Amino acid sequence: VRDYRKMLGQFAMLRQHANGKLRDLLIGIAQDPAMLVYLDNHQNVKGHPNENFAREIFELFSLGVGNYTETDIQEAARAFTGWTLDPGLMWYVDRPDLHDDGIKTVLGRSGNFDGEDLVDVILEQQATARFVGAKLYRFFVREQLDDELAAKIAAALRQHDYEIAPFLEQIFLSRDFYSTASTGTQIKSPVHLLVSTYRKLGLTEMPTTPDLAALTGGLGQRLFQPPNVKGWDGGRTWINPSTLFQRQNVARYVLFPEEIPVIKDAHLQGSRRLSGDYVHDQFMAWAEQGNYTSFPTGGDMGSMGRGGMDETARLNAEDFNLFRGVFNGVSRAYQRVPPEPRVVADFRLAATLEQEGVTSAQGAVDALLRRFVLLPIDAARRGELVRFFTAQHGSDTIDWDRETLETELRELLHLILSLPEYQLA
Amino acid sequence: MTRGDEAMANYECLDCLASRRQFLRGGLLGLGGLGVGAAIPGVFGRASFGLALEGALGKAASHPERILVVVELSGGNDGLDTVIPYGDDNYHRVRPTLGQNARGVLRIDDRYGLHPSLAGLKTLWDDGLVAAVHGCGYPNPDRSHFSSMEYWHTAKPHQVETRGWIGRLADAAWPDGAPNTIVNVALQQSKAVQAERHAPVVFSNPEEFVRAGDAQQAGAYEQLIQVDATGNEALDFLARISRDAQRTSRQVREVIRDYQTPVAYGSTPLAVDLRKVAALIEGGFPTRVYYVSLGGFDTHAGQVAGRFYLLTGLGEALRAFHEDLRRMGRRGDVLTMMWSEFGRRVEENASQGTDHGTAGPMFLMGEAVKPGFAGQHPSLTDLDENGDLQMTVDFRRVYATAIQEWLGYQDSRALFAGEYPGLGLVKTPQGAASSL
Repeated sequence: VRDYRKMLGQFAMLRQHANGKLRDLLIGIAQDPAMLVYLDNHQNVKGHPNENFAREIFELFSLGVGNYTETDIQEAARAFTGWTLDPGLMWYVDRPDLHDDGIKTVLGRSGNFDGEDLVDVILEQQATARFVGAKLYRFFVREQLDDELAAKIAAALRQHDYEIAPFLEQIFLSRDFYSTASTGTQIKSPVHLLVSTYRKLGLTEMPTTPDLAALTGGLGQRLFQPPNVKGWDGGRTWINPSTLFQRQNVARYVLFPEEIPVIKDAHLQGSRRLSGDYVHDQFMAWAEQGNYTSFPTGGDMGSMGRGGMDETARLNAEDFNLFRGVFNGVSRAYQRVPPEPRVVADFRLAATLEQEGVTSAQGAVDALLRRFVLLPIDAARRGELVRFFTAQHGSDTIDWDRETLETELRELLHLILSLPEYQLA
Repeated sequence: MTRGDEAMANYECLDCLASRRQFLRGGLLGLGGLGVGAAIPGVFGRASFGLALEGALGKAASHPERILVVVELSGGNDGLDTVIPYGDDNYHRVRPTLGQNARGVLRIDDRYGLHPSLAGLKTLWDDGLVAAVHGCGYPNPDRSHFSSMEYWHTAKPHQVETRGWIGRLADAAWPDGAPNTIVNVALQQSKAVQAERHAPVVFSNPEEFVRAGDAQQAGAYEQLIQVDATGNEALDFLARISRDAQRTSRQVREVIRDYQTPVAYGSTPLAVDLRKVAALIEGGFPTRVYYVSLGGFDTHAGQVAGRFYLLTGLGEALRAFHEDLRRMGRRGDVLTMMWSEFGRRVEENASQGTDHGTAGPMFLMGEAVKPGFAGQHPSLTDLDENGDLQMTVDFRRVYATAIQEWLGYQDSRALFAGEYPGLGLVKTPQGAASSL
């Protein structure tokens, strides 16, 4: 989906229905312009059904694999014919003239179904309650479900008539939600990691540096740009040695924004993305010589008189024009984007701890662990943290007047935010 | 005991180890037969040599005999301007200004030649190290970079799949998830290597592949990741990756920093990355699959100049890499596979460029390949409904060649959810009975 407005529209639609009825959410997604484009339903018309959307609504959003046949998909696709986009491919329109009015047989039910009817057929299926219920439970509570629990969850979802808010309320008040098996067993998504860090720091305003989009994108979660229609897979797929370091370094950049690497001449670097490394490097070399305007030389220019320059000179000339075009375009684009004011995270660990009545290294470690880490940390590692802080601070009693205290506390907190436990929620 | 000796004690295949150590020394010093325990001057300092071995010997199962290196050409490489069908009159008709004549190409036979800038690749070809598979693609080709790249990464075109093909291969073939099985030299992990049981090593600049913080803090951190198994699977996983990451980070930085080779790689992006791969191979990493990528192939305009430089760099990087492998005696242990997410339109456009098309050639390189052309070149006249080339070989068959015949993992059917037999392009296929 290239048009960001469609992704914004989808976001608004998801928020509108997230706590409402599953029926509205499924119809909303079936009529959502981003989804229509992504899964080609705007090309799903009478006589030429396109099965792409029908397959995914079954597989990803309602029934789950194995609970429908290929014939069900083909028939369901016919029901969604005519749910399409305006000629500008921006807005949803219902085109009855493109809708297949024949009888469809889906999941054992027959009728002249349209998209809404089909959603009702889907909601009648036991598999839907089971699949959607388990999906929500996995997201909010824990990964591991046995069959018995899955069946209970499905029953609860049906009992609430697929109303999501009361279903979630029941989950959030359940004993299992607070049990050990559900605590600290989920790996935070990059956005969760960063936003929850800000919350735990007590921030009320979002810092603009480090840059949320760049950091979370680098960690594998570019908001509004999911990897595919299923969304981010999450869990362990967030983690490899490199992303783990980056997660720890992100924490460091929040605590020590002065250490955030600065890309020199970012607006010039932009031409790398547009033109590729080689062209970019050549241009930078020319730009460095102040050679923005003069015609590049090299090769036998003398042969120009005989009906053309030689190959090297011609290539240089082409390159030069391309570089200059790219360079000017990128520079201008950057100039048009107004600079964002730099706002770093505004917090004082020392003040917070003093307010909490902390007096010792041990007290500081305990207070920070309490605030930031959900899971218990064993005595040996707590001891290591105390030792580290005491060595930095030069004493195990906190000297509130010491100039470097805030830095020392932040170094301590960076270690705490580097614990494997901190990646878990 | 040194680190290396400790690692040795945990290693099952001691003969292999001894020969590998001797080999390393022989390769490094130009002398064989130094006694075990002799001082190791020169390239590796004592510490880094130990670390390199530690990396190599972590698990007996990751015996790094056969290595696959995947080279991705990102942006859609113009296949008709790579393996050039200069002997086909239709080619000159569809490429009136971009076309290369018989004198221009690096001639292979009366019909085909390589792009004139691919001198490096031609050297490998002349040495009998290259197989080129014509017309690789997949049914109902998608001309979007994003979609097509995703399909080549997952090897499941037009399906939703969260893991990459290399990730699924690693999960199935090496289910113990040993560290460092997959190395992806890149700023960001490719979807191709996304696995469940494996956490691929991803780095571009090895010096940035490290946790930030000063030495004192780093010392404390080493203690803080020593967590006994708790039974919380997610936590145990994170603690394990934390420890692996520390070790791998140190090894990667040392091995690459200390790497010395007489082979001149040059400074093009692919050469720089392949040099890192060579360093890790010689450093004894237990990696089975390396993944690198080269961008810049999306040549919609003025492609003569762009491809002149790009392909020169590409060919030279491949040549240098294989020369380096030969120097270290590992050219027979490494298969390199190269592909791009699509070829370009048959007809050139009005800006001396080419737009997004469909099928293109894939390359297999190494001593193990049966050299020459494979498959059928797509017709330049019998085109699909969009006027694009019709693929003749499903790219999954080339993947299967690497998976089954080279790495010896037989069940590629399950990996691809379909039947895509290998092409028989490996001289000494890994038998099903051999261990991986």
